[in-house]
Amino acid sequence: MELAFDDGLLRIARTDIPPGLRVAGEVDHNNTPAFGEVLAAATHTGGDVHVDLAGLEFINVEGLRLLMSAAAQVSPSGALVLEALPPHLFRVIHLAGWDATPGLEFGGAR
Amino acid sequence: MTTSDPHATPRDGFVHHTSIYSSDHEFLAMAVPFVADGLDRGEPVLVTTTPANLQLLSDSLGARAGLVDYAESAHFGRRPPQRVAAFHRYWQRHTPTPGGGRVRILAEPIWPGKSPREIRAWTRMEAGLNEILAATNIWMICPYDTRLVDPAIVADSQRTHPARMDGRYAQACDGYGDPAVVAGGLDTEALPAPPPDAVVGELHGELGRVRHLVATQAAGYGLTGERLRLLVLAVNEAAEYLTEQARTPGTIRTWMQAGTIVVDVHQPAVGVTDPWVGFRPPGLAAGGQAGLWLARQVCDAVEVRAHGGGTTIRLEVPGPRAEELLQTHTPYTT
Repeated sequence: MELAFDDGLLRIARTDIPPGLRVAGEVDHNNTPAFGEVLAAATHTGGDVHVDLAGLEFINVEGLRLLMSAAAQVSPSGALVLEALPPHLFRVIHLAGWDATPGLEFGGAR
Repeated sequence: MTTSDPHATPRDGFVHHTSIYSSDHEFLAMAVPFVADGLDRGEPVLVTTTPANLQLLSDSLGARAGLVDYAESAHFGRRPPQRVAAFHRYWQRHTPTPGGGRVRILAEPIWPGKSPREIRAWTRMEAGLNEILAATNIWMICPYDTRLVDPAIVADSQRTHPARMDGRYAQACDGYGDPAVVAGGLDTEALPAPPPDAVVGELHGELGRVRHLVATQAAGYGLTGERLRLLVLAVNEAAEYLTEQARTPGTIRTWMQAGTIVVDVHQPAVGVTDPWVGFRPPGLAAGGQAGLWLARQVCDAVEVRAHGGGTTIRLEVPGPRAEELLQTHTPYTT
């Protein structure tokens, strides 16, 4: 695992098996630009990208929107799979109508 | 303007009629042709009204009643932002319509039993729909029953709808007002002052501290699980919106009042003047107001008030004694 970002609040590591990212800590307005860049780099190569959110403590709505954009980006050649998404964020994604985003998939529940 | 053909309404853009009726007969004289003409044209038709009116309409339409999408108003958008979202979802799912027709919605708001504050919020929504849904091709008629609804509210419907529909006949509302002016007129009363024992924190660029303060306080009031997380998210979004407008430090206050948890987010240096901020449904594009939109969806009330050069966003969620929420699976009914 290779560390892709760490600002003390948010830590993102790149994973090989499955290919993707492991996100821990808090995504908020101070680090959403960096979060978006790491996501863009991970979805750049095509194929499925797994984003493991088991260590996620907080994510703002802009952070969620960036995840949706990344899913749309990786589609149709692959999917963005959200692993261990906290249940209240399912609700937010559904409310916003973002659950229909192409390329968005949900992996294991938390 | 009187037109004998209500279909002479413009083909593009949102059309919003009030329909003031005082009998079942008058209701049906408007509703049956509106619905039946829509069905004839193959247009999607949604009827959201009282159970009594749903029954009346269903009896009149006979076998064709089965072609109508329907909902009881009380359960289709509990609060105004949720109602707007429900209309928008229906439109999104049914557009583009076959042959480029309209999406028809008969939408009767429920007024009896509402508090003065709720009446202001729903009146504000009626005005706001003209702006918020302007880019849709929805044709919406909002029936007002003079047997049940306060005359002042009925009269206000002619300020919040550009035209009224009587039977099959549309006529401009002389009293129609600029929606922003109508909204401004509803906000003349200041928000009640926070109590002296409200817990005060600082609002600045480190929103983690704001989230921690709100999470600690709300947990102390007994809020748990998803409802606690959604409140923290809603407050974060309000705080993020205001800190992005100006970096001057602000304040955050939380308190509990009659079973409701209240959070004020105050930014002293920026006046938010958009009356529909957070009402427009979010897309995937950057730079929207998805955060405030979400806050409005998951809170019982969100008020955005510019005053004294600054802005306060007040968010309210039901506390742990909200029995209805304790007995439902999902934290918020939409």
